[in-house]
Amino acid sequence: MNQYEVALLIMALVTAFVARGLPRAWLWIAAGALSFVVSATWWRLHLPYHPAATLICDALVCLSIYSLAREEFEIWLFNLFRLSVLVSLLKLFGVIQENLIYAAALECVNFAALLLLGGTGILAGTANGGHTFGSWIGNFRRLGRSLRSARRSPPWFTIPR
Amino acid sequence: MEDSLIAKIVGVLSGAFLSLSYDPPRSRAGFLRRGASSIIFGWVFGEPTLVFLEWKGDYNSTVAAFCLASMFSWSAIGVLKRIVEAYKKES
Repeated sequence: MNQYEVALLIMALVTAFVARGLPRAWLWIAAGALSFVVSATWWRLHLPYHPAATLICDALVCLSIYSLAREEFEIWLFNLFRLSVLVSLLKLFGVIQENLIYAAALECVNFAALLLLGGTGILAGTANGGHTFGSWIGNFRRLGRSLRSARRSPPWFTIPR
Repeated sequence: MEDSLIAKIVGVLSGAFLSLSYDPPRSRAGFLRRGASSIIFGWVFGEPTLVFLEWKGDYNSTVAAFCLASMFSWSAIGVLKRIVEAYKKES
């Protein structure tokens, strides 16, 4: 494991701890980790079409989040994984040529996803407090409630016509 | 089955899959419309994309060109629709 992978692993563990009250966050941490492990193993084994493999892994995570999401923070996570799909597409079509830039962009998206899940976990803890500490804490509470609210648009296959 | 036909089928289907998972439709009817248009337009415009981008006609390039055509077909139809609507308003 290199230093970036160690940093990501530590951050995933910290996020899982912080978001311990959110079982669905654990589900998506596990899905993202699985996608990362498959993609990294593909890269380590020097198998061909690495960006395509990463693209398919991220697209599958995207599809599963879209299908199973129940809360608004999961839709934000879906958008982050879409960004990851876009990065892999840009690499595949030669817009991103440097491997370093490609890897850095994917790491940034992964870190952002973990920050979102950890932040939702923290905000979920403050959302139901009885005290009013001031307007900026109130804003955080509103954000927390908004992230934990039910998703607004249901998946297409649940709509009859 | 010959190699280029497999490349075209793989390209078109992967493009349709990416298009539908990247920007999911809002209903079953939308899914059918978008899926069908991705497959048909990908199949029709895959070859012109290959020629336009001046890629070699090998297996990888064929898959990439057909995937590209299939993936962006719905967005291209949307852009065309807006252009036509703007033209109608002007005239």
